[in-house]
This record gives sequence, C-alpha cells and structure tokens, in this order.
Amino acid sequence: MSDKDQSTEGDRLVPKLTDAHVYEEKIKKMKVSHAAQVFSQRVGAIMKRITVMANNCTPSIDREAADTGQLCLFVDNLFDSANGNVIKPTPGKDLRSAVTLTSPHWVFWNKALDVLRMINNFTSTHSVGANCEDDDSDGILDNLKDFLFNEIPLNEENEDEENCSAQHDALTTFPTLEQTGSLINSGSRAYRPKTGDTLCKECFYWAFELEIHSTITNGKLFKKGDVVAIAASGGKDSTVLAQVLKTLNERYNYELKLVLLSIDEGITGYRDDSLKTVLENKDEYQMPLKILSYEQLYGWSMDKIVAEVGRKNNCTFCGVFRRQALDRGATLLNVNCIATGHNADDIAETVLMNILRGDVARLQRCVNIITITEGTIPRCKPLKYTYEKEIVMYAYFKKLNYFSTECVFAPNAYRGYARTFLKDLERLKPSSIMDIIHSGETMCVKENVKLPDIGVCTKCGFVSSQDICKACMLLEGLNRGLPKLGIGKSSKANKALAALPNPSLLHF
Amino acid sequence: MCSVNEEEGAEVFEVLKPIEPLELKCRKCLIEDGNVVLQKKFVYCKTCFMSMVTHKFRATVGKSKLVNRGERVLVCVSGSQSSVSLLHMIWTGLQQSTYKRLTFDPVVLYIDESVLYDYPQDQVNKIQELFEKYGLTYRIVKFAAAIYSDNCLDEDTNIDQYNDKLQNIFSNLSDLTLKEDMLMKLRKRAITKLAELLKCTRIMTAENEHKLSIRLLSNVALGRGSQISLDIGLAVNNKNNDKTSLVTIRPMRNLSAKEIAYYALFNMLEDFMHSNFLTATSEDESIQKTTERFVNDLQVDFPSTVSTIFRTGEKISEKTSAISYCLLCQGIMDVNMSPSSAMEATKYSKYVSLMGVKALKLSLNYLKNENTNEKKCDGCKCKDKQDLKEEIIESLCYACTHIIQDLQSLDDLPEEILNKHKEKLQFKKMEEQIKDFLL
Ligand SMILES: [Zn+2]
Ligand SMILES: [Zn+2]
Ligand SMILES: [Zn+2]
Ligand SMILES: [Zn+2]
Repeated sequence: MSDKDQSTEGDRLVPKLTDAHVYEEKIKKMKVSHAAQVFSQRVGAIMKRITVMANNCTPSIDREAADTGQLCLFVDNLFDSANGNVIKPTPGKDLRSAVTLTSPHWVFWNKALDVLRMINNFTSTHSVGANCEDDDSDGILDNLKDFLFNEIPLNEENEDEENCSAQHDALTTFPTLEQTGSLINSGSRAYRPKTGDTLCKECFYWAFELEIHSTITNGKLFKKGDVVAIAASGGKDSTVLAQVLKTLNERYNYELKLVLLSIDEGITGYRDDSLKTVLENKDEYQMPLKILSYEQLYGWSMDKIVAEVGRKNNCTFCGVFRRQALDRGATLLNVNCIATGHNADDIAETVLMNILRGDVARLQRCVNIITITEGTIPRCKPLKYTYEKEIVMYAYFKKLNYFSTECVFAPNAYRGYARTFLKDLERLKPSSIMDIIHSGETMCVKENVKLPDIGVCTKCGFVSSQDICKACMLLEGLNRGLPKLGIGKSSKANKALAALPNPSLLHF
Repeated sequence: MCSVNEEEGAEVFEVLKPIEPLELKCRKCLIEDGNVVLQKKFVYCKTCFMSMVTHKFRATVGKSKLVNRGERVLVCVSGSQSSVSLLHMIWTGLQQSTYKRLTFDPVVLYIDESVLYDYPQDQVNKIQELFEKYGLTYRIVKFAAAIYSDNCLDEDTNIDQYNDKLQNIFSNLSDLTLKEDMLMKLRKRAITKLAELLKCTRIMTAENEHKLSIRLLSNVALGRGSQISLDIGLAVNNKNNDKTSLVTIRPMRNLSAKEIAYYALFNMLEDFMHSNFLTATSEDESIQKTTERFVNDLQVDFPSTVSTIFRTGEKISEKTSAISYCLLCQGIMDVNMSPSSAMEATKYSKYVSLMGVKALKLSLNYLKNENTNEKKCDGCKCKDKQDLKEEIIESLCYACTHIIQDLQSLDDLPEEILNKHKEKLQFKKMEEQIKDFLL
C-alpha cells in the first residue's frame, strides 16, 4: 500500500485529476493502513478479508497482506495483555485482564517473544502495511520487557552495577532480545525512555524522584505549610504522584499536608474497583481521603445521566462535571492547591489537540505548570515533565497498586488519533514529547487575536468563560428534561435558557 | 481517564456528512455545467473556477500592499505543481490590461539540486525551456554553489568540490528527520543569499495550505514552535538582515492542493520531478512523513482538519522580545528560558541520569568541570573539535542543536556559519575585556 501511494509532498496529494478514482481508492487504502495501527480485533479481521477480496482482482497485493491481518490479531492480543488491568476478562478478550500466576499471560508471552523475534527479522523487507506493525511491536516489546523486568525476583546482592550508566560504564542501547535472558538473571536494570540511558533500579528511582523534585522547586509549586489535595483516580498517574509527593515531602521537608481527593462519577463497574485502590492508597500512605460523588455534588450520578441522554454525549457531562468537581471538593476541604497527575505525554497530546482545534487560548494555558485563576484554588502538575512510560516503570518496580481508568463509555475518536500520532513520534524520536512541550511553551499568540476572558459563573461562582458555566448549563438541561441543552454552542444554549419562562427563577 | 480531558471543553468536531446528490450547474453563474467539485459540495464551471482561484492569489499578493511597483521579486520554482502554477499566475498577471496588471519585476529562480538525488538528465534543460517560453528574467543555480560560493551567479570552477561538501553534510547525518530538516534550512539559506545577490527585496515561494499545515505540525513536533510564523507566515521580515528588509511572501497559501491541481490541469501545466530526502521513504522513518500521513488521514474523516491547523498558525506570532537568532536557520533562539521549562527539564534529566544518587549533592557545574577534565587528551585535535561543536551549539536554536549534535563533522558547514560564530566569540571576548571600563 505504501509504495503504491507515492505522494511525497502536500501539493502532490492530488497527483493528477484524471485518476480521481484511483485517488479515492488511495484514500481508502490509507485508511486501512491507519486503522491497522489501532489494532482493534475487528481491523485485523477486516484486513484479512480485504486482501482475500483484493487477491481476486489485483494480483499486486500479495498474500503478505493476509499475513498482516493475522499479525494484527496477534498484536491485538499482545496489546491487550500488556494493557489490561481489568480483573475480570471480557469475553473474547481473555488476555485483557490482570496478570496472575495462573492467568494465560505467561504462556502467551513466551510465544509472543518468539513471534516478535521473527517480526524483528522480517519487517525491514516487509513493505505492505508492515510499517505499523514494525513500530508497534517495538513499543509493545518495550512494555513486555518492562513486565519481564518487573516480574523476575530482584536480587539486590547480585546486582551487577557495571551496566548502569550513572557513574558506571554506560550501556548505550537497550539489550537485544537475545541478551535479555542473561540480563534478567543478573539483576534489574531499566532503560530510560526519556534519555536513552540504562540505569540500575536504585539509580532510576533517584533520577525519577529528583526530576520531580526539581520540577516542584523550579516551578515553585508549593509553599511551606500548604495543604495540597492530590486528585486521586486510582490510576497510575495519581497513584505514582501520591507516592512520590509523600516521599519527597518527607525527604526534603516540604512541610506539606497531603490529602487525597477522589471523585465518584457513579458509573457502575468503573469506579467501584478504582475507589477500592484509592482506599488502599489511603491506608498505605496514611493520608486523609475525601470521596465526593456526582450524586452529592450535582444530584445526578453518571449512570442516571446515561439513562437520560444516552451514550453519545455522556463524555461531555462526565468531563465538564469532573473539571468542576475537583474545584468544589477542594473548596470543601479548604486546601491551598490541587495537584493533578497530568504527565508529559498528556500535555504534549493536549498541545497537539489544541492546534488541531485551532484553540490558541487553551494552547497557551495547557502548558502552564500551574494554573492560577482569580477566586479559585491553584492547580499544578508536578508530573509535567515525566514520561508516561517511566511512570509505568516506576509503578511496576515499586509494585504500586493501581487501576486502569479508561472510560467505559465511547471514547473520543479524535483524541485517539492524536494519541496514536504522539506514540508514533515518540518511537521515532523519544525527545519528541519534550520537543512538543517546548514548542507549546515558546509559541506566542498574536496580539490582535481575541482571547476569551475568564471569569466566574454567576450561578455557582466557579471559573467560567461564560456568564453561566457549562456545568450549570448541563445541569439545568438535565433538571428540566432538556438534556441536549448546553451540549452544542454556548450561544444557542443561552438563547434557549433565555427563552425558558422566568429565567431568574431557575433553580441551580 | 475519561477521553474528555479536564482541561478541555466539549466541542464536537465536524464530522463528514453523508454525501448529498450534487447540483449539476455551476454555483456562481448558474448557467454552465459544473467541471469542478470543491469540498465535496461546491460545483464550479471551468471559467468561474479559474477566476475564483486567480482572485484568491491576487488577494493574497495584494492584501498587505507588500510589493511595490517595480520592486524586484525572487520567484522560487521547484518544479512542483504548486510552483509551476505560481509562475503561470504571475505571468498571466503581467499580461493583464493596465489596471489589473501586476507591476512588480519578477526574477525566476530554479535551484538545481540534482547533486543530491537522481533526476532525469534533461530535467534542467526542460526547466530552462519552460522559463524561456515565459520570457521572464530567470536564473538556474546549482545548490552547492549557492551554499558555498561567494559569486554563485557565475560559473565557478570549484563546483565539484562544493558538491562533495554538500553531499558530505547529508551523509554525515544519520537521522532522516534531521536530514530533511537540514535540507529545509539550507534551502532557505540559499534562497536568502541569492535574493540578496540578485538585488531582490521580496521572495515568493509556492507552498499551499496543505503543505503549510503539515509544516506547522512537524515544526511543533521538532521543537520549532517559536519559529512557526517565520516558516508559514504570509510575510516575514528578515530582521537578521541589516541593509535591506527581506520579506517572504507565500501567495498560494490560501489555495488547497486540489484547487492548484485543477488550475494546473485546466492550463495544461507540466510539472517536474522534485525530490527531497523523504521521497520514496516510508511513512514511519521520519517525523515529517509521519506528520503528513497523520494530517492526510485526519483530513479524510474530518474535512476541516487542514484549514483548522492553518488557521491556528495564523494566530501564532514571533516573540517580539527576541534578541538572538540561530546561526543555522536564522530563526528565533529560545534564550533566557525560565528554570521551569522543558528545555531545563531535559538538561536536568540528562544530568540526573549520569550522576544517579550523587546528583543531589553536586551541582550541574560539577558535571561540566568533570566533563572538561575528561576531554583533555593531550596533543590530539578531538578536544578542539568537540569544543567547537559545543561552542557552535550555544549559538543555535533548540531544534538546530539536534541537527548539529547528529552531524559527525562540522568541516563541511558553510563558511559563513563558522565565521559568524568566530565573530560572535570575538565580540564576547572584547566585551569581557572592556566590561570593567563600561559604566
Ligand atoms: Zn546505578
Ligand atoms: Zn456554574
Ligand atoms: Zn460558472
Ligand atoms: Zn536554528
């Protein structure tokens, strides 16, 4: 596919108009190869079918593509096995569950290593759609290696420090699969995705924690005596954030009082387990925990909202309500600052998203390490410069309890594209994530571009760029049985609100 | 986390609507049958389409009254469809009746890059034929000459040597992304230099909306965020140039790739092979191509992608407080970054990775000292070379640093860069010496 599409530069997107049909086909093909990256089970099946069909008419697409389909299914399984944190497997996705000693993962991974070794050897010459596999298997290889490092009992005494690049001779590249065997036995070393260095476990901890310490001190995120609410979802970012903040607070005498703040959206089966994790964190770190539910804050749980609006727009409600829930919770707890678990990947992705949306106001705001709006509690991101991969590594090495918090409802397709793109860039050049944040930090908005003023909502008093904030708008819609209100353009909603009888008597 | 991030609102993206049956008649004149369909819904006849495209071009050129009567304008033609269309539009504009006529004085430029890629042998001749046909003033210059020679407008006997140097630079770069980035920067250098030599005060290049959107996004991915307006803007004041203010204009920037393709088709314009290092490479070998694929794929599902990215670029400006420009790309340098920045965080990461537990007690300075101690291997030139690299890097922007770090040897860099660098050093030394006397 890729060698059929020879468009090399933007202005060659339409090479010749006479082959408009070919162009159409090309686009379809491009879609297929893109979709293969997402590696859904379905895509694997579809690709296989397409090639079988194509083989009947065009001999140029060889059977390799059929293998590609097979490969997709394989990679899909692998992906699941590395990503799954759901304790109960969903039917048809057996490997997407927590790793236990009895689970099918170990058998599968052993097989996977063999297959991946094969892929490594042949993808370089494998042109048809293989580009994406090559990439993804690398990424998954990394994940898999992380797992292997983690699961093998670590023997501190036998630790062979000669392979750590901190103060020792550097091991510049990650060991090949052939070498991994001996490495696993000889101790625990970690490849730092961010710098390309290989560090021993202890040095990795130091590097990881010191970097966050330096982010906190350079960004002046906290003052002595501050009460800091950690937004705790039970996910890896917030769990690692809580662990690191506790460690640093004790080690460097920040003199902070840390509290965990959790929001319960009221989604059956989604928060139940993750809140359990937060409760465990509370005991382990001995921090006070406050759980606030949407039901308490807004009178509506997400389950109820879904029953009302269906699954199409519920992420809007979920996101808008959560944004404010943290502010409301923090006010209740009377804290000085909220710390959120946004990592470098999240921020780079948001920079890309805001460019794709043309939203320069948010483009500027999203790279701020600390957001201070008048009348609200400041928010900061101590993990702003920390790579997601290293967070996962830290959590595994430290055997931290965390929970995958992927939303159970329909995901936002657009953000998915941006995420895939970012992962592609990171694979090509690990510094890409930092490069994008650097770009975001140094871009300036033209003076004549009008940016929305940020004020407070006249109804609830929380931050809003409109007179009435989005949360109040959505809430009013729900309470009035007009759930679509506030989903579209704000101006439309304002009109609708104004058209309602007696707007001054609206109950918020 | 839920796919709706806390930081963002809840806008719903415009999704492709099911295709409605199209009108048969042109939407402008309502008489002629349609020949062209734009954005999957607008139907135009050939005549109305041509006047629409020409109007867009004229509007962009005339908009900010940047080009004065009789001003010499360097028109860069690469051979791409976009560039041959630009040439045709300018030529057509010069033939118009008095009040519509373009009044500037174009100098058409083709940079011959055949030393870097396999072009058909007669490519240059064909380009020359084309230029002759239009009857405008033109120049065909070899890329290597434009980079290294002082009088590149005349035949230079050293051209073989220059060709070797140019080839060396690129063979000394191992990373495809950086190779392409370097090519872009050297092209820009060559064009700027030639504009000065040819006494042109305006430069026109033919990038269209689509290409500029991809460039914007890959610039962001390369860490060139602060240079976006320089690279995609309508007009760029080259503040580096003391004598004249050189302005780059991109008259095709409001036209889509499709519009240009139709324009070229209706005017039967032949385009030529024009390569870069990414030609015939796969999409996952370089950041630029990955970006291109990303934008193209997104454009299929969300037809407003390109124009939205492009409009984002319109709202980004240069830092007005910039005081320093990069030696290599002439872009803005990101100096005086706050300690809380991606740049400083990256430096710290490298330091911490090297020092491990020691990092806490020792400072960054210690690391620098230790490094210089290590490097002292007597009588050998490798230290000097390493030092030169580090010194030059200090005069480079964030993204160009990546290029020079990957470059094995600095010997083949254009003299101006090395000399300018020496000048800068000299100036610094002088400042050092007299600083006690300054009040
Ligand atoms: Zn170590
Ligand atoms: Zn409100
Ligand atoms: Zn017409
Ligand atoms: Zn530069």
